[in-house]
Amino acid sequence: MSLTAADGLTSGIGLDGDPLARVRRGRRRLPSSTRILGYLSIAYLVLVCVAAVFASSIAPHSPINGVLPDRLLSPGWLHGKYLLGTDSLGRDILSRIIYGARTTLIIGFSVVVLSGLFGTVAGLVAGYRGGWVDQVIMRVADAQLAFPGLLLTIIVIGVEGPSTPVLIVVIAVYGWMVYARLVRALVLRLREEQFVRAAEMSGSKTPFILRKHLLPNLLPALMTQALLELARVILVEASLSYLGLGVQPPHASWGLMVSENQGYVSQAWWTVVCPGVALALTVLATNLVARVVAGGAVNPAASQWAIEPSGQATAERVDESSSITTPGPVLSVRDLTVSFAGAADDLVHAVQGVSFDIRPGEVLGVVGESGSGKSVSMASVLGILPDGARVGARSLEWRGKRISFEDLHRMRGRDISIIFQNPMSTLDPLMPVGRQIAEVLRKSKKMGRAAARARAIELLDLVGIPDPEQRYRQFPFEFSGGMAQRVAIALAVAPEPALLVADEPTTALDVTVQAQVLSLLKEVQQRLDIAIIFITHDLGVVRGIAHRCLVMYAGRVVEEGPTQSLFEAAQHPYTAALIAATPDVNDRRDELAPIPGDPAVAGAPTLSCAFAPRCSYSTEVCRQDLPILQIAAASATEPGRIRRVACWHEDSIVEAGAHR
Amino acid sequence: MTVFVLRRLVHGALVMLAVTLTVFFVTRLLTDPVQVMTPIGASPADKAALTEKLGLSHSLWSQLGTFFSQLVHGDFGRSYWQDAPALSLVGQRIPKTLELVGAGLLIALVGFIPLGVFASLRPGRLLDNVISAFCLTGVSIAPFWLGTMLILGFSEHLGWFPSAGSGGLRYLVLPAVTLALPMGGRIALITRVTMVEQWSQSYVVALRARGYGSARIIMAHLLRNVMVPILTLASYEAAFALAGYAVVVETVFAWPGFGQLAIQAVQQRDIVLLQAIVFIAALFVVAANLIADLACRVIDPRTKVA
Repeated sequence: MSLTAADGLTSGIGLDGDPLARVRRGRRRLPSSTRILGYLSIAYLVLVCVAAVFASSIAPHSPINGVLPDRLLSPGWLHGKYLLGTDSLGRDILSRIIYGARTTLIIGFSVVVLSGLFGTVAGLVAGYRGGWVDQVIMRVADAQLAFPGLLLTIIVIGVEGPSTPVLIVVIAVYGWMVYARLVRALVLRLREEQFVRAAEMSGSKTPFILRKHLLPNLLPALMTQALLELARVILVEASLSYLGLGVQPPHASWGLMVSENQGYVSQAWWTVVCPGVALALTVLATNLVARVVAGGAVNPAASQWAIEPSGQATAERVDESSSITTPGPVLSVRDLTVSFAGAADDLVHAVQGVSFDIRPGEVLGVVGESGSGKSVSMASVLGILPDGARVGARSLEWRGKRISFEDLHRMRGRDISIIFQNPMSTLDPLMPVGRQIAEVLRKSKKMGRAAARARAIELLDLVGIPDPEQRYRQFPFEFSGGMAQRVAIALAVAPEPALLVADEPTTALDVTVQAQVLSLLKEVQQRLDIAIIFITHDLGVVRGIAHRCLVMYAGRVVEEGPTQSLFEAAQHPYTAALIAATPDVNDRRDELAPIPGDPAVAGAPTLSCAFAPRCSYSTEVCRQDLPILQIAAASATEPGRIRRVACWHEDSIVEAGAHR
Repeated sequence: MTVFVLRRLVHGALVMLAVTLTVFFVTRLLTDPVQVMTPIGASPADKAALTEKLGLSHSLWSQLGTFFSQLVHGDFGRSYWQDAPALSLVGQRIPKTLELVGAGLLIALVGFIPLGVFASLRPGRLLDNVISAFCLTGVSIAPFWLGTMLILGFSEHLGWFPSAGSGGLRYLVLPAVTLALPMGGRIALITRVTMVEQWSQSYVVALRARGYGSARIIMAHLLRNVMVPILTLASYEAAFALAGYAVVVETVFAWPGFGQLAIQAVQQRDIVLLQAIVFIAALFVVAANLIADLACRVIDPRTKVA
């Protein structure tokens, strides 16, 4: 991500790094403290505006003609004649501050309107017209941003002589680029949006669509920008007046008041403090209002990965009937539940009572559509869910020893590794890949610098990256997707973990690359004897790699068993439907059978079969009672090939499968 | 890399050309330099002499030609007010301004980037609110007023630091802090925003899944990733300070840099000197941008050649 100059200038005020963020994210709720401050700021600014407009009737004294005998009187607060005291010429400070507000706001608003209008028009023209017009406008804006702005302003005022119109024009000339860049960026971004494209396809004219959608998106961004600029202009005016290049005596300006009275600051502090406070509060209030208009500075959802979810396993007696009686699983999980805080106060139950075992060297496929809870359940085990997720389980065992989620999280990067779906975005973009692997080795294996480097190169070679020495020094962006996934695999196996969680590791890759990465995973798995939990929605992939499979639907396991037998004879209607909907080169069916209806969405805890609405076998019992995952009758007689299924009609499905 | 540097250099040269042309036309078209530079009631002979001296009797285009041929030879003309070569007058002041801006920038970077990092750890919580409020206040306070208040507190009352002039380190503290607060405020705020963004990036989640602690993730990975926007902003801050805020801060603290010289030149209506000051300031602005571009390029090898 590189920041353009204009972004840098405006986002410094603590707004969202991207002033256009609303277009994509919609309005966010502001934290209450920001809102309250915002309202206070608006109230204060209204007060300043009212004072400026009605200065002549509000101000208790003349701002220009002082009473010399009353010079340098200290603030009388509520009792004295002069609320905030007088200056060296006997002029009332409060009155001068009120008239100063008028000066400041006249100049501020004039500049913002002038430069805002010009900048908006320039940005619209650049965005709409594109081509050389765009080039010229943006080049000028770029160059002007690199100008020594205030100095040029000073030189112009120096030769022209200070006057309010000159001041306004000179400051405005230096402010238009920010608006132009903003508007242009918004126009260009809107043009790329799907709905604008779609409307273009259907024959609407682009300008019309843009006009319709541009304004609602543009106004808040422009308002924010204008307020930030107003704050800046107020500061510039005050500074120029302070330097004697802005508002001239005897007129009142806050900056001028500070310079006039600076010599008396030690004997009459109020002459300098009061106008300065008025100035600082006005600028601060304007900045705060800009923050509110921008939709708040804090995006709670985006930022809380730093805090780990509080998961705890309560140690209870393991329900023997639901455990698979094969000795020595690496990891054994019972009744895992994950829920998120929903829109209101209700919880979204993403995972409901999932149990599984994984043995050393075994590849366990976890299959399901998006939203089935397959990724969430595995992420919860690793403790990488966003804040607000509640994770619980009846028991967790690692190599037969009961442990807590915290223990499990401590094993990350040593005994447990993970491979993600998109290899490119899971590598640090600014660190050479080899160093990232070496870093893992130094941390998990306590290797020295040189040893880690040598081993990292070995690992790169192991995952089939040609020229590992050379590739060690390269950055992620220099790798193709498949090569990057190989790097991710090297990273994951570097600590020689006992368990590897692979979350859709091939989904983002080309089909040919998929096959290579899969065979690499298989090879690495056999060579290092790692247990792999392989999460995917692709049945073809899982068939090629997994020894055993869990099929998940709506946050529950609906069927479990050895991959081969599961694929040959599904016992749950969902599994059967999933297989029927998957193309298979070995099976020359004429057409695929899509599953009717929409996938169930995780929500309230389900008390009946979640698949019932889409299932052709469903009867009354399915809609009333929840089927429990239990050992399938058909497999009970075959030890070692135990299958479990959660369906009221497993028998009819087995028969239907046999007759097909 | 060479192409990148060359392109940036060409861009910088174009900006310099634009600045020079702007100054040339502003001083000759918007006003009559002779009228500006001579005192009221000067004799026609004096005016004629100055017109001749500044070469204003020739056509605008031939003036432009002379102007540039002199520039190329490093001749910025003689200051009317000081009766000395303008360039050497500015040159004497450069180290002082660089000292001030360098110290200010150092405080802003070293002191405020950590503030932004701490604020980003728990957005919306107390620490974040306190830091954000502090930075926003720093951004909103006019430097000339802040400087005056610092003088009132730390020189007049406490007597810790001198209020004006330059000399040892003690003279540098107050002006540098005055310059650093608004710069640092903006730097901390952008650090916070980009850090918050980074925390939700997949690679950070992946680091977490590898069992890395927050401190390690920040030190070894995040800081490098947030450096590009921070450096870009810092270069603009440096440029603004050199060609703007420094004028104000130098005036408040009577700091003998070229900002103070600029104000004196305006007061003396010495256009020749002003031209030289703006040209030198623009040179520094362009250099600051160039350095930042190069630094970003080194940190982030993906940076496009623009």
